[in-house]
Amino acid sequence: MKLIPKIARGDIYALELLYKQQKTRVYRLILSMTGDSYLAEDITQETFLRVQEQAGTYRNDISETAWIVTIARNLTYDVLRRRSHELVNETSVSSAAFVLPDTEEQSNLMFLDLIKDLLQPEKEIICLRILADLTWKEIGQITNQSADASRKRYMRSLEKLRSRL
Amino acid sequence: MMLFSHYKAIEKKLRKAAGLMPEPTKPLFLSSIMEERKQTDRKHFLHSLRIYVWHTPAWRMAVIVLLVFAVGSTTIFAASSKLRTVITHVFSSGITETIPIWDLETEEPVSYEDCSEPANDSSSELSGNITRQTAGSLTLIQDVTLDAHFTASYASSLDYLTLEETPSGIPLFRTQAADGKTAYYSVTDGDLEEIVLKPQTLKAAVQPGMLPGIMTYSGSTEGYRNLTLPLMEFHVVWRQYGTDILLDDTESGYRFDIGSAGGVDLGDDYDGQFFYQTLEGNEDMIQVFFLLDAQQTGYQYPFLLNLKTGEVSDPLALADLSDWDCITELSIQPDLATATAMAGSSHEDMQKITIDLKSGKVIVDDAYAGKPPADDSAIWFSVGNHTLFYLIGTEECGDGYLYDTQTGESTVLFTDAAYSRWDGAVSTDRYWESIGYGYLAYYADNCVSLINLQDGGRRTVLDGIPMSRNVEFFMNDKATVLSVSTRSTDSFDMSRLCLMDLKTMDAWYFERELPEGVEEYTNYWSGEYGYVIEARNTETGKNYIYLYQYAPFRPVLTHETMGDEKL
Repeated sequence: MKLIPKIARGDIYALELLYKQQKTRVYRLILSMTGDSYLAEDITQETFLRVQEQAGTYRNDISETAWIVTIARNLTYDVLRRRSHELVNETSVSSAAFVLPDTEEQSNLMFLDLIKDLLQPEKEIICLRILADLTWKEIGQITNQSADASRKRYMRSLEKLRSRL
Repeated sequence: MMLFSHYKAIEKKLRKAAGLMPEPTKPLFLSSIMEERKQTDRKHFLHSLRIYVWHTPAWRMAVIVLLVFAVGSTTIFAASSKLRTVITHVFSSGITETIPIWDLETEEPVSYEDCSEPANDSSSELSGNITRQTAGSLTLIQDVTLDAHFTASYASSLDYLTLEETPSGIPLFRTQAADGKTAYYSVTDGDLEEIVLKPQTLKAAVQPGMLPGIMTYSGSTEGYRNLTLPLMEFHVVWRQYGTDILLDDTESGYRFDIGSAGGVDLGDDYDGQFFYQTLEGNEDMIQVFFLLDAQQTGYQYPFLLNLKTGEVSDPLALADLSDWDCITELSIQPDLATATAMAGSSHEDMQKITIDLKSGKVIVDDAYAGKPPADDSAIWFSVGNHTLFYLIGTEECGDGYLYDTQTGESTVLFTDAAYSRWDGAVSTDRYWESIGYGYLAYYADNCVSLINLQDGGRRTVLDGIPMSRNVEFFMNDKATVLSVSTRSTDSFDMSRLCLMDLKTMDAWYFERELPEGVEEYTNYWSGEYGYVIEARNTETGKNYIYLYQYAPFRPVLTHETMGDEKL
């Protein structure tokens, strides 16, 4: 039973259920991108608010998970973009994402530590695969590349990690 | 092989680390977020109001004065239907008209000091003695209280119950149980009564190379169009109810057969789904789409399946569709004589085509004929009747126009870079929303308007509907009645409900009072005049489903009228 069409009809309990089903993967993905647990909580909330608002635009030819992750990813990049402009004008969004924070949160973010030497697109594809648990075609859809290209990039990333791990 | 095992080891390590990451601690505070949004919207409104007063041109001010006069006059002479007719007539001669929303209890238009804050917040039940001939009414014709076995909202350990309509229009309650089984019920005196319908299963097959495909969106991926599919075996489950075919489904019509015993094995490189549709009025055939890598390629193989014989046939066998890179919305008529679709070189340039399935002849209804030369900044949408709607700007934020392809004339619908509701409404005081069927809702100047794109962009100001993100539009399937519900920020109930007859542009405002602890959370149309509301008692956990009948011109108001529910 798909929940988003029900949410589009105004069913807030479907939204609650969707939140329960998806919150962890969405939160962890955002947390991996921001390295800030408080910010990740806020963006997670905002993601599901957007899901509720935009449920009527959901197309059946994309999985619900991929759609939600797309919203979460875009929102997070928006926030990082604003932050990078506010803090350091020259900092690009890509370099601001997936950065291990220099805080006590590091202990919870061993995952980010493991992939810290990868390039940003490689980190992203690892996160989309491992944290968001998406299929190749979903990852391709989100990152605007083919499923095969996604899979190859992922394998290359793992290959790079092999020497480190 | 060795390399592969290394990858697996790395993946395992990553997944273990991922599992150590924290989880979110907050519950979903939707109501508080909504309230925050409301306050933000209000601030934006006040800001925009100041700008508006200082910079409004004289002609706009004149229109505003006229509108204020019209609304004021209507309020004063609320009981006079003649005056209302006159006012409506005056405004219908221009682009914009204002229609008051009538309260059925007081027989007066609902009055608001501004569109955000209702001046009259009283909620009361209908008295049941209204006799005005033109009054629309909502009559409760079925209701059901669900015991603990059911829930009106899906959960893993409970059965989900929803009210659906069969192809021929019979309302039925259907449950899809946690174990995946489907059952149907009718309601008698508020009790569910199971209708035993034996499920029928048909196994069928598509032979290799039998079906050509269509591309549903143009993209960079190539190679699928001429792909010869292997033998595909699949199955479909349905029930016969009178002359109606009721298809069992999962995932809203999608059945994932890949990898299952009766499914399709296309190897690791491909993925596919079957999507089934009934053909209303046809008891023998259903329409099936095989979606190949639907999320990646948009490539589909449509075919017909005869439920009696298991025969698979290609309805488009005679049609040459090679002129188009992109074909969507393929719909086969139940008599199997014709099919319609949208076709084009890309999604931005689609036109309706009609396919004669007997001869293969394709007729192009080129709504874009007469369109001016391509403008990179314009985004075009066909709305029929030689009319195009277009945006200058972006799909998210732009000025809206209508274009008549016969006369070449453009009509301004809205300017000032209005945002689509779903994209920019947080940061703007004006936005628009497509509600389908050739209508737009336009939120600006603290009021809500309905724009009829198929009627020259006629704008109707919905007096009494607050400009709020809690306002929701639902059109019935026939596009004859529009529901405008205003949800409470706190409880999300539909205590305020407006139904608008789009033939007469009469709009009626129903106040509803709910018992303590009851939340209404879903409303939707069932057929042309059936209106469904689902509710839950937050104290007892019981769920309720109500089916109302909307009667546009019948003075049918009894003790069972809306507001007198058996909760």
